[in-house]
Amino acid sequence: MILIFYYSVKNLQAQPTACHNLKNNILDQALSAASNYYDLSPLKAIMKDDEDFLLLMLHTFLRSGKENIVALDSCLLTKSSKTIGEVAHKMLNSYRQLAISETIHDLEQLELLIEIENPDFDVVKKSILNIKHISEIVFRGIEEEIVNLETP
Amino acid sequence: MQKILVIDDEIYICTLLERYLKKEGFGVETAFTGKSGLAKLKTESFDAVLCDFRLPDIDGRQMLSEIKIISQQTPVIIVTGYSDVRMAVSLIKSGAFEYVTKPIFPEEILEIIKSAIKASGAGVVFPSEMEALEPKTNSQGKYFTSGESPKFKEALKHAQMVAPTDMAVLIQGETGAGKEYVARAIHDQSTRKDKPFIAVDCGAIPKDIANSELFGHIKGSFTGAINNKEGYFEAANGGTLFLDEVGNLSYEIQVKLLRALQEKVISKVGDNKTIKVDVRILAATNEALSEAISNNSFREDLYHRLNEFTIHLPPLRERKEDILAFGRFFLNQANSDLKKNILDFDAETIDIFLKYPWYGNLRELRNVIKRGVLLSQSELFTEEVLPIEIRRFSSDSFEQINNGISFIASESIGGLKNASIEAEKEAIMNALISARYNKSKAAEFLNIDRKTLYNKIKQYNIEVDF
Repeated sequence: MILIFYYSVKNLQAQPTACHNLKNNILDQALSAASNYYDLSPLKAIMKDDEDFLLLMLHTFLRSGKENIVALDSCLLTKSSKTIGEVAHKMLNSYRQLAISETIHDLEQLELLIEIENPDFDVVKKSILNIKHISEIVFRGIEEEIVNLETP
Repeated sequence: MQKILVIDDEIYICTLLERYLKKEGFGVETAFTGKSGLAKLKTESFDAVLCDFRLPDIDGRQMLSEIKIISQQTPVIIVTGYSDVRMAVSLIKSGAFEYVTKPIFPEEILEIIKSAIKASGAGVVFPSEMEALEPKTNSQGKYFTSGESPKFKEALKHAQMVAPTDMAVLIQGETGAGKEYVARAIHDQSTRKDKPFIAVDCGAIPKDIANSELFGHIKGSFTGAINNKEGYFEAANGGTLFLDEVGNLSYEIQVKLLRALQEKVISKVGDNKTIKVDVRILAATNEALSEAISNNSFREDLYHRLNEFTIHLPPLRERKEDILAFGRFFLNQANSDLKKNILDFDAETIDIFLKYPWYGNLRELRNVIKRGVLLSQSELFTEEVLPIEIRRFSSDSFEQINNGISFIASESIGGLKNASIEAEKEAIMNALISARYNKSKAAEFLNIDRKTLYNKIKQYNIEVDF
């Protein structure tokens, strides 16, 4: 469901400018839906109106978040369960801080792989896919937040 | 400018703390691995170190010990996920100043850093659970916080009974259970109450300097001994010396300690002269010393000397009545520290508090409440400000145990044998839930080895994730 919504927004973005206004409205709605998957207010409370600091943290989140998703993918291919656990452990702090709550349970389960031997990789794969899907939506939303913050 | 070293493999945390602490006026260095963090410590001095418990190259316990070898005085704050809280609490006994759980809140860390620097500057080398649980006195000089459970009251009653004597007392209990609180209560009700009370965390003293720390040294007795030094025994003369985690003392120190107890004399490192001391010894341990005696790592004669009277302090989970008594005390303490005015816990929070096993005992309770107060936006302390692991523990226990999701239904119900099997299953399941399905930790909670736990899981068909 989430994926369909996300990719339909992506398709709209790729189209020529025929229904420009309509498209923008839908895009706005999609991005505002993306913001339902995270919450910047705890981070903003720490920053105390320091926009540069907020931007720095959003860029850092995007960079490390994307790297970690790539790492989860490659560890899944090699079935490196311990490393999956370690990557999930690294992700948990920022995901919790941005209240990306739809991923927390899966990340916590993956974190257990640091200690669990021979997991059921079908279950692991399901968790990683969910984290990836939600993360992609969140990344889009955060990218938009960055654009808004950087636009004078 | 005070300097902080942040060691964490997650760039997000390093960036957040670096920028935040710099804004607060600190100099900050970051390191993404344990090795690079230790390298920085060897070349620069820092006022405090924030160190992740799970680094990719070196585990938290080893990091702490390496940091203490390089710079013994530097306070170390352990940053950990909630699943490692029990371990983190035990690191306090090994010399860490404090632990904080993820997700991190920079304001909370800032406050801890400030108190760590203050404590190390004031010469408080080995802060221990006393700092967390220090009994405050009111104008009448009486404690205004105490446990309400029969078990805690019994422990305090025993403390009161033994206080006026000069008997050595061995206090047994888990880390964070309040052993130092009881030791302090003994001292304060003894004839030595106007003399010093010195608390020493034996687990936090590096082995190679334990002799000098306890008994003192004279100038030139070893490299670095640039002045004469008074040890804890002399500092406590006339008063009480509380030796926490006494099982961690080396065999050589045990010999000197025994002599101090038997003959009431000590000698400083590098000095042949003996010094007469009048010190009452209170000792504490969180492990069964009888096991250490049987494997010859603890002297039996010393054990009997220290164990003239025993006080057993049960863990917090076995004295539920104390949870709210101490909880409200910590709430007031946090209100005062953070300049907040949270009136009380709401009903759901109380329910969760009473269900949660508190393996980190009073220290964990205090830290959870302090963070909750920091995050609270309303007049009541609600469950929303609790770590998700604590909230989930309550719901997991309820759903999984009551719905029996993880168990295959037993063939028949009834009879004593079935009752004990059900109790054993429930204990295993509770341990697995509180260890978040980490079997090593669950085995530790149950006091059985990992292999036995695996066999039980198989025997009872207990399903675990993955």
